[in-house]
Parts: sequence; structure tokens; C-alpha cells
Amino acid sequence: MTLGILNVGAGDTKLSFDPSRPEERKKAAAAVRQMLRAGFSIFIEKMDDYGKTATFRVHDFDPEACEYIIMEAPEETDGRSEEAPRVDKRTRAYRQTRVPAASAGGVAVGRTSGG
Amino acid sequence: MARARNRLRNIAKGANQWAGLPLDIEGEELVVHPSYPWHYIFDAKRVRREAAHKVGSVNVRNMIWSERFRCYVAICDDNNGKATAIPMKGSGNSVDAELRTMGCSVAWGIEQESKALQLLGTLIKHHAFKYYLMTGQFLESSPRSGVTYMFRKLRPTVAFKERRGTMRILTCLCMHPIGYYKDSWAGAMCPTDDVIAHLVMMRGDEHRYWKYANHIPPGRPTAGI
Repeated sequence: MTLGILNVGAGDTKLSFDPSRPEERKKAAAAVRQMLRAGFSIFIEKMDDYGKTATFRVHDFDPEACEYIIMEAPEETDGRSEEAPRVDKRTRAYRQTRVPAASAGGVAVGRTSGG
Repeated sequence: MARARNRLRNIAKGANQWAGLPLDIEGEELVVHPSYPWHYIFDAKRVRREAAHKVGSVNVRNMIWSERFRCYVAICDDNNGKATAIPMKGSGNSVDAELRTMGCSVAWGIEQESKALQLLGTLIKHHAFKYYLMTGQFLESSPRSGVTYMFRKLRPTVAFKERRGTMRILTCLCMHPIGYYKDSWAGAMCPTDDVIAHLVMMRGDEHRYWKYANHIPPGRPTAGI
């Protein structure tokens, strides 16, 4: 996992770890959770089924599984299939998706101070 | 300044401040978010500066923006208690902000800016990166909202949308992670890091981007247009 953290003094700090080493995984997990609690916004890129890259904001992090938790809007359907009910745009239910941290690069941005 | 920056970097590393510590510049006011752990250091300096500059006891009723004079106008009470209008700072152009921004550039290092440029190069396409290197700005449209954004170095991001066959400016979005220097376009981070913050926030959570950024009308000098 490599996470680029926008840093005032260093420009861009990289937080990386080897997934095969439990200690490094634990440290990286603690760092990511600390950042989320401190109000950082973490954005990761994920490939969709059509091969296009999309950026998502991380809502949470699972330190046990070492996975980012993002919210994805469900695919809209025509409502004809019984298995996939029509999605009401007004009350769109976002689905939780897990992305392994080892496979997703991202950027962490500190809390904004305005401008 | 490089030594001060390096020392602050080491202090930040020891204190687990992932975004680093902003550099306070003599003569400039650094604004940080109230939830920033060490905001009280910068708040105390601002209060001292404000106390030192206060002259007499002028009651300011209101501050309004004048499109005619292109400056802020303070509505104050005169000696007889009647309201009077006093044009405040602002010459109708943005040269003051530009000079201040130049002065605040001492807070950044070439190494930090080059790292940020390398990161930006991995986030956008080659032609957009070339635009940015040559002109200091590039365009990107949001597939969700249809809004086109012009991300600019050291200026607020301009949001356009096509309406009835013409592109219209919606607003200018100004946002600096961690901190910024008041009355300038300089953030605590190097310029390209600010651009990256705007870009990833627009891509990853556009609603949040619009919610957290300050919206500046395009006619104001602070919009940088």
C-alpha cells in the first residue's frame, strides 16, 4: 500500500508498507485511522468493471482486513429485473465497498482552513 | 527558511502530525482551522496583532462590497454618531494579493514543489500536465455534475457550466488544507499541493468540495480573474 500524504514541510510524504509483514500492516492501519479521526480526507482510485478509473473518498478503514471502506452509488437499472429493483434517485442507497489497501494507491489531504 | 522548514518537519514527524507544521512568516497572518491541534499558537499571535493595530474606538456597523469601487466599504459611526461610509483597502485590482503571495513563497521549498509536481503528473493526463507546466492551469470536467473546473496554481479554482450554448462561470472555489496566509493566495502547502487537494476532492467527493471551499464571486479581485 502506498498512500501519498500532502505535507506542508515535505511536499508529499509516502506511507507505504509490506502486506506480508504484520507489524508494518498494523502501523500503517493505525496511521490511516488516526488520519481519518483527525479529519483528513483520503481519496483512493479504483478500477470499475469497464476498466475506467474512478476516485472515491474513504469513509473508514478496517485494520484487521487492511481494507478501505468506500461508499459507491449503486448502478441504475430499468427496474424490469426482479432481482435488481429500481433505484429511487431521491433516496439512493449507497453500498459499502471494501478495497484492499495493498492494491489501492491514494492521496490524503488535511482538513481545510478555508481560503 | 530551509532550516526552519526542516526543523518543523522533524518536529511534526515526532508529534505524528502527518500534514506537517505550517511556517509562520513575520508580517503575515497565518490562518489555520480551529480543530488543528496547535491552532492556539497562531490564534494568540493574531489576537496580539489585532490589539497592536487598533487605533481609537471606531464602531464599525457593517462591511459591504462595492461593485462600483471594487473594494470593501466600512459603515462606521462618526463623532456625531451618524453613519458614514469609508472605503477600505482595495485598489480595484489584485496587485496587493499578488505581492503578498510572492512574499509568502518563502514558506515553500523547491524540493517540496517538485515532489508535488511529480505526484500531479501521475494524477492527470499528459496534455493536462503540459498545460499546467506551461500556463499554470488545466481543465477537467466532472462526469457527475457536468461542471468544468479550471484548476489554477495560486488562484481559486474556477467552476464553469454550459448554459444555452455558452460557458458561464458559476463561482470561484478557494480552499487551502491546513492553513493559508491572509490577504494572499498562498497556502501553507506548496502551490501544486493545493492544486492536488482541489483535484482529488473534486474527483472523490464533489459535494464535499463545494461545501468546504469558500465561494468567491468572479467579479471580486480575490477571485484572481
